[in-house]
Amino acid sequence: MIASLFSLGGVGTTGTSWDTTQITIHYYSSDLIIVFTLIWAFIMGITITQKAYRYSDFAFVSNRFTSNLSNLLFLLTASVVGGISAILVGNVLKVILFFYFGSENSMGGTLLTPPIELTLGMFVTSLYILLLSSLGYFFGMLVQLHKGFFVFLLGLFLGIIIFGIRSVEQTNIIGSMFMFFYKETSFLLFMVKTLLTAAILFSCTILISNRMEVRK
Amino acid sequence: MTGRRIIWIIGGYIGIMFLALVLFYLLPIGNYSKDKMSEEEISHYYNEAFGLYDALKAGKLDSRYDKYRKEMKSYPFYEDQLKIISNGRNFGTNIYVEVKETNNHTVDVIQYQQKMIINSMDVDVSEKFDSLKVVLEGKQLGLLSPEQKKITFAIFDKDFTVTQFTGEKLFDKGFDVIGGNDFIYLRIPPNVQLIYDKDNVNLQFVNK
Repeated sequence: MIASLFSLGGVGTTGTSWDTTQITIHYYSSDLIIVFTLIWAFIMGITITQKAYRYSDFAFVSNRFTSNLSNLLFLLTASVVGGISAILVGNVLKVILFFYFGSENSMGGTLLTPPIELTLGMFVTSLYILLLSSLGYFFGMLVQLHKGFFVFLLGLFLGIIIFGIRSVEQTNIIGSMFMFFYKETSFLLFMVKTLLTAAILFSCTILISNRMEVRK
Repeated sequence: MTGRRIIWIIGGYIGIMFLALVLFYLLPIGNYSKDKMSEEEISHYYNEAFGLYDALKAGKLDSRYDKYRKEMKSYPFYEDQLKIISNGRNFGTNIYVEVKETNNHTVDVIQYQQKMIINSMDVDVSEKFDSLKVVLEGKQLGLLSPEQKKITFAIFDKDFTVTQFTGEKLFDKGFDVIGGNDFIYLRIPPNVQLIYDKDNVNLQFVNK
């Protein structure tokens, strides 16, 4: 909902003017809503590795493996729900803006999204959310294994952000990782990439959590 | 927060999303713009726009360009000088002058206006803007530019999770405005001398 408010300003604005005419075009999409959902997914992945959440698991699940499995299923469900709702909230935004600008000034060949693209958007967003939540889950578990990882990961992240980008053309490792998925134009390959990466991250997380003491 | 209230909030949230989804497909969004031009219409228009330009330059007023005619007036004129004044720069306004063979003591003013098309959206926005006013009073022909008018459009882009597979550029946000120029065709008696600011008024005599 916060993302929707941010999106009201549009994802881009362009314009031109001369003595008698001024034309401004605002571009709108669900991109910001999706980005906010991805951040939410990453934070949620970290959150469920917190002690309070893991300890509450012991009342319902019998061992570490089933605890991880339930977390995996939870993140999977949250990814699907998040993916669907991010795209649907985008539609809410478009309908509101349609009424705000009026039918004459609401344009763009892509206003009426075909149902196939709507479904594609939901599916791909869900896969991105799954990827980010599994990454968050992995990082969260690393920190739970040893608090030193928090400092290490934070330092690594800030280091990449501060020293990684020296010019617009020069991309950093985070950018390269994003491009590995974003530049993929084949849907099947994209699905394989995201699911495989999420599976690797989950497997690593299970291995890490098995090294932890009971109720640690 | 009670369980019942949470259910109401989540239910309302889901309800709004699905209502918007239904509205999204039921609203006349498919006909979002009556001004949207097809590729054939644009191609045909470009040919006509060049044709109009050539016809005016050659002093041949063809009836097929009548649809671009905004005004046609004949003013009685007994002076020997006609001063053209402008309240704006009117860079896009071209004046074509035909000198009549005989003096019938009238000045004919014919105003044409090109369509104004936003390229990349293929939308005709001519009707949204006021056109130049041309008024002849006494010895003066006034080109009165309208006040600046602001129009805001909203374009609904595809999300990056879709453009990734459809191949569309994520940051392709440029646009051009084509046309929208006014053409004034003047027929003046042979004895009338034109006075105008050559830096601000684009004027040429037609060779018939």
